[in-house]
Amino acid sequence: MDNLLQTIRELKTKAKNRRDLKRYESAATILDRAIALTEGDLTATDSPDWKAQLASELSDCFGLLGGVYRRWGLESEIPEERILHLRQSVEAYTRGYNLEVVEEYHIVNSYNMVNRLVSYILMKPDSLADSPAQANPALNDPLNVREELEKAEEAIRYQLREKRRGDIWALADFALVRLLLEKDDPSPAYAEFNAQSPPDYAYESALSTLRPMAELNFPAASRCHEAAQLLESKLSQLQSSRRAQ
Amino acid sequence: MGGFDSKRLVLIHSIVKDAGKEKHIFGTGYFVTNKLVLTASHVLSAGPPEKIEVRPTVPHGAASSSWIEALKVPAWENIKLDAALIEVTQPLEDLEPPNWGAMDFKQNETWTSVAYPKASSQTIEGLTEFKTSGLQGILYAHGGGGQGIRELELGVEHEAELWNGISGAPVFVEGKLVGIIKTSLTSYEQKRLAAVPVSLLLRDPGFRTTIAQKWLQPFPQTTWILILLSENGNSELAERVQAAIHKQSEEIKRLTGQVINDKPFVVNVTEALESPERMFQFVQAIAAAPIMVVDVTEFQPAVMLFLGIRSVVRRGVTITTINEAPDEASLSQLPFNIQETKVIHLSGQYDIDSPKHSVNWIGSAISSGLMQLRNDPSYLDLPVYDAIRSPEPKSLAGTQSIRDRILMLCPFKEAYQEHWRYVSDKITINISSIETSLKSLERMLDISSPRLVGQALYEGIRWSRCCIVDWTNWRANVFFELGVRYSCSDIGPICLIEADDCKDDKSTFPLQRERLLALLNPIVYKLNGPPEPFKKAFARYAAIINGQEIPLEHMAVAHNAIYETIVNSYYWAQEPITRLPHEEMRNNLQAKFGKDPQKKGSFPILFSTNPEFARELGGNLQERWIAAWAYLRSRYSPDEFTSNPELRQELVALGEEVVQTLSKSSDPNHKRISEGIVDLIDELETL
Repeated sequence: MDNLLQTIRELKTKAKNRRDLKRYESAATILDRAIALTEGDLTATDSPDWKAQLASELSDCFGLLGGVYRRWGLESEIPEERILHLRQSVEAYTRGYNLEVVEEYHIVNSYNMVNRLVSYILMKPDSLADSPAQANPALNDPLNVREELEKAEEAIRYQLREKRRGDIWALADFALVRLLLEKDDPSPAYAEFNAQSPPDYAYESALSTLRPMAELNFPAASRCHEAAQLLESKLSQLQSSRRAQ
Repeated sequence: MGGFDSKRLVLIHSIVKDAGKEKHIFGTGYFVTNKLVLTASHVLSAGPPEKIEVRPTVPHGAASSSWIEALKVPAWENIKLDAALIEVTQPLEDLEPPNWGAMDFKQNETWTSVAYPKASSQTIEGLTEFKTSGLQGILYAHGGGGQGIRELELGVEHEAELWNGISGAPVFVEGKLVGIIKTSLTSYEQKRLAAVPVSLLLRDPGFRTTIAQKWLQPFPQTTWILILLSENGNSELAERVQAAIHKQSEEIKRLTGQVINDKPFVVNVTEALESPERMFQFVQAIAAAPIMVVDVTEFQPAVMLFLGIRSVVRRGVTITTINEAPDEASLSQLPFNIQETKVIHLSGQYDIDSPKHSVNWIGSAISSGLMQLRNDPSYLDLPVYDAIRSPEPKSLAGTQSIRDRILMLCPFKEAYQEHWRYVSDKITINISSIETSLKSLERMLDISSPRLVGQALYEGIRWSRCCIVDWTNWRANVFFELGVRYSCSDIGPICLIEADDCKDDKSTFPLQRERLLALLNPIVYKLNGPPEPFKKAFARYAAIINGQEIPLEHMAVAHNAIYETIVNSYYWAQEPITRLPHEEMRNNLQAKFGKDPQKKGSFPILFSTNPEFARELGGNLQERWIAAWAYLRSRYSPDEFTSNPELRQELVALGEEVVQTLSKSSDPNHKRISEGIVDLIDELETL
């Protein structure tokens, strides 16, 4: 029902605001509520269109939840808490990703697909080394990150040709994946993204991924660092030109 | 149906509060249906009544006491005419309609009435008893005319010092109800009375629909569908629509939150033309129906007329259907006005599983139409709605204004060319006799505006003071445009038709033609015949412009009756201007940027990849959200937000949206505003 969608959207907005205020626990609780509401209706309905609509909202909620846990983890000063929240982040993104790949839901997105890999790398930076890392006993389902990134690159490339042409989130994901795979330097990687004149929240979002990656000890760190500098400079131009008006 | 009937006569008593004291007002009334009493509106106008009651002169079996309570709000009222209908809570037994009389008398006549004048009341033991009093006199055939609203001038034979109480009394001439008394004329030492002619009441569509038997009303509270069938048209359309609703109702409920009434209102176009009352009620339904399905097979004239009305009055979902799938040739022949619309064909060439099967097609059209209408304030599925609301086009000083042109709506096909030469000649040589400021005659083809054809046409239809419509050839476009004119202007069109086209022929819509001719009463001319019909047409226009009454044939409706009907039944809540500023701003922003703009990775605004434009857009988006917040926040006092949970919820939801929009801004003022909102939300949420 439209009212349910409205409620879900309101909860998402509220959660985003709590996240931005660094009230992560509150944000996660709100998203859990949105997820429970959406899952309830998704299970109950037989309508394919409605299922698809709800699944899209649900995967978005999981994506937001994954983001909340990631930020929470990255800001935790206690290593165990950091690992715990990053693992929760990977789990949330993975649940979202599992919805993204269900054909009948027709979700054309890369939000959870890419971010679960990012959170995974943040949790376990050596997972992107040349030789696949040993399975981490803390994780039930260790990933071959490089292989998954290659798959993601192909999937997003296809999406950008088709239904997500010019989509800033797809372009940002694509640039990040190419960067992590060391296939592109920052400037060409983000050229298309910049060409879309994205709003500042899109820059902020891309930066919130790049900055912690730049701090890691892994091969693509320096590229992430350069990319962050590039986007920061673009964002600063955007903001200063607005102030000048 | 006889003359005066004492069973219908009532004393009206209303109580109003005046400076804390009760004031009792008395008048006379006359039952015109079993529950509606006709009286003068000033009888009710002393202030908002505490109570209104009527006492029949002759006790009625249905009434438990001698007084019958009436609703405090009149069922109909026309202050200009000084007439009102009040509705009693306990109807009488069924009554025949009164024998209505005309107002144009050739010679003076004797009139009679019975009323409750104060002069005949008696006070016995402190209680006032009201007695009826018979009245009689001369109705002056040529009195009551001149400036202002036409009245009946009644000479009174009786000496009366106090006429109070007779207002609203019925006036009879030769057994026909011709008027109701409204005032005494002091200049004649109260030996003359003025009455409202009932024929003026009968011109008022509100009066006619109020006294008429209810046909389509009451309309459902839920979302409902009005189906208009063509004459001798597709008898299965209603069933198909019903099947479509049945199949899609859950989906529609999920996607739009709306419950569809599963019983559509089905009207054959000939039923809608059965009488003026039916036509007015149908126009009310057109204005009220959230969804309308119209069978445009053959593009029959009355169907097109009603579609034209719909296109002006309602930004709702309107679906047009035809019986057979059009081929390329017939597509190019579609009437100009509906070439842009999506016409659903009902041919049986698709399987029930196919989305193009009529049941599926209609269902998905309703569902997607409702959803788009909900999300897009500029949703349209018919032309006209926006164009007709454009302001009057400005003309250069000294040049001809759009109002000063005579707009001619007529066919353009070859067969009409001779008519055009003849009619345009007759109109042009008589322009100056119509009105000196009218300068030129123009058809749609002649309009010199550089605007789009449709835009210029509909502006012309609305703003031209004089609009002449030639029905000859019964063209679909002309009737669509005729419906538009009737809906949007209080100066009705002057309709013409060539004599040969009035005759019954072998058309598939004979009844519709007959009824249209009777209701809208076009002036009949003969091609290359005498000029009298045109003189009559110009006289009709002059009478309209000068506010004079035009005698109406038995079935005919007044030139502005459709317009008046729409004014009184218009669904004004659809106008964005009626929304509160913060709602309007939110709706506009969501329509342009989506309800969840951050989820979307692309922007619906064209050319927004231009960096400067994108910056401006982003900045303005934030400022508008702030404006919406500032309005709602300052509009109500803190106490109101504290005590009203709905208002509080609205403020909180809006605040969250604003904070989200400003969340990544580096502007210190944005940060300050955001923090203020968050603090307030935190405070309100603890309540």
